[in-house]
Amino acid sequence: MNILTIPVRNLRRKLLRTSLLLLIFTIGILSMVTINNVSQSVGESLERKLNQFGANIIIYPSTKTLNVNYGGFDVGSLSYNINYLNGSEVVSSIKTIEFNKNISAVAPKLVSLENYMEQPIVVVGVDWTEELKIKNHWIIEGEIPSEPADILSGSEVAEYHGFSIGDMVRFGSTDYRVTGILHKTGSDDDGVIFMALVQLQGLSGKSGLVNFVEVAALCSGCPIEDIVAQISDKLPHTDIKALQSIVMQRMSAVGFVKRLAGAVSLVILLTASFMIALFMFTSVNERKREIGVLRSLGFSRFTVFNIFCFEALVIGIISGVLGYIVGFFVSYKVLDLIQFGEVTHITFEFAQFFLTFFIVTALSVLASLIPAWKASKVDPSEALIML
Amino acid sequence: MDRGDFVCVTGRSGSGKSTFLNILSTLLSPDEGYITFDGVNITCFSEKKRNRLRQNDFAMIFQFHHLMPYLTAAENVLLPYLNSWKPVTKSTLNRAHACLDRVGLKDKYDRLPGQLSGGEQQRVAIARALVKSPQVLFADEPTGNLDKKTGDAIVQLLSKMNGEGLSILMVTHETAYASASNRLVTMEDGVAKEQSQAL
Repeated sequence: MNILTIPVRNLRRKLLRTSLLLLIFTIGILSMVTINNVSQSVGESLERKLNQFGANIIIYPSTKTLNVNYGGFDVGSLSYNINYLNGSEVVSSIKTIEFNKNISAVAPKLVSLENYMEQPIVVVGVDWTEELKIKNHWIIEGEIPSEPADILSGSEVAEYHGFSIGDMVRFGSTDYRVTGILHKTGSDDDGVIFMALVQLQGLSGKSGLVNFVEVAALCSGCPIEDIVAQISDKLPHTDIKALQSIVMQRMSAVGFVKRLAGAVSLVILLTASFMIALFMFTSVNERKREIGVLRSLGFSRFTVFNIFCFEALVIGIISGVLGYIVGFFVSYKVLDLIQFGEVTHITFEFAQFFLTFFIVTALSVLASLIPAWKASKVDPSEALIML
Repeated sequence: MDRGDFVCVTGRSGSGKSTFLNILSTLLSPDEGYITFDGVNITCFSEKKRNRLRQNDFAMIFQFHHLMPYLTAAENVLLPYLNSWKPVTKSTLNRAHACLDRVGLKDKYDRLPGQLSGGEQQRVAIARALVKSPQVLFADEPTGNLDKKTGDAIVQLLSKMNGEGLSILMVTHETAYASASNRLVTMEDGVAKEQSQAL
């Protein structure tokens, strides 16, 4: 027995009230942990899904532009030294950057103007696997090309030339089969034909070459500028453009989810803290005579203050541990219930556990400061007067 | 008070008996005047020193026993030792048991206050007051909440303690108990008047 006996025994004395308070605080912590875990998973998943609606980094071969004028006449600007990129070299370089885990897709493209029935058609050569990661919003009537000689037509091209699924289209000396037609996207994709990159490289005589590479990067773990800088280091003879507006829009959506989760968590924590403060105020009012006796026995005001703070500390400790552990397991259940459709891994991080634990116990003690101070100010002579 | 005195303070309700006792026991500070204990002026003691006085040299019992309902009789007696982070030792526990024996509560160490009679609860309060061997016991209406028979037994116990050397200042409105004391002080409108010795 020592000074801690008094607060511990008192908590046990009002077992129902203590249990209810513990339950409320634990549920608060549990909710906060669950919301944070779920929002983190949802945020990451949302970002991945958003990234499938297009790239946020584009890599071009570096070009120089010369302003041409003669005799006072401005003829315009002339781009020269237009180079192609070595597709495989660019793709493999990007995969070796430090933040390669943040790269979700690398989609090289070759753009060529081909003739069909003596009319020009823009044909884009793509790596189907990577391209479909970026163009997840495509709705395809028919099938995705699977054979080398399969092509996918944009909606406007198909309408203009009267393409249907199964039609054969001749480019050069080779026939290509239209396996699918894109529904209208409202982008440049509507006006082009897509075929396998290797096919178009062969058709256009640009083996291994691409015009540009689109990259989809996940930016929640690091700023896009860092990814761009790392790619630039690997590919010094390229121009790299980060589509900041796209990034910011996506991060805004993801950020919104996380901020909402943070706000809800804060409200829960504050409510739980107020409950503790209310409990302590009630306790102080009920125990004025007890405080008077303690003071008459020589207990200092500081000791009385500590006794009440310790009661709140015990509640914080138990709720913090229980709430975090139960919240961790409830997170899995919640993600399963909302059927987010992806395998989301939540790991038990000890650093996060200890941080949550310390914040919770600190908050519970903070909530008890004013009631504990009030207890220490009780006048023992007044408290001990029998009514 | 001289060492070994048993002073009885009587007076009507509202005459200032309890206030007088609270001032002497340092629970209240006087507006004027001074109090000495063992020749030392304790009126201007800091709160820390006054706390120490109440821990070691002064003890108090009240009309209502004011026992902690969640502590057993022995644990209530040990309450003055729970002012510290240091755990209570076996010898201190034995001391508490000895105090309970002294007030006639052998074999009731583990009873909660709710399991004891009014007189027994007051005896536990007296044992608590004695556990640190104080020099002065301040008793504020210790029989006020008890029937006559039990009250008489309590006063007898206090007389016994006084006989063993404990100085006692007892506030009571029961003039009958003045015979237990060797000095009688009457309070009237806040003024204390010493009467002739009761014995």
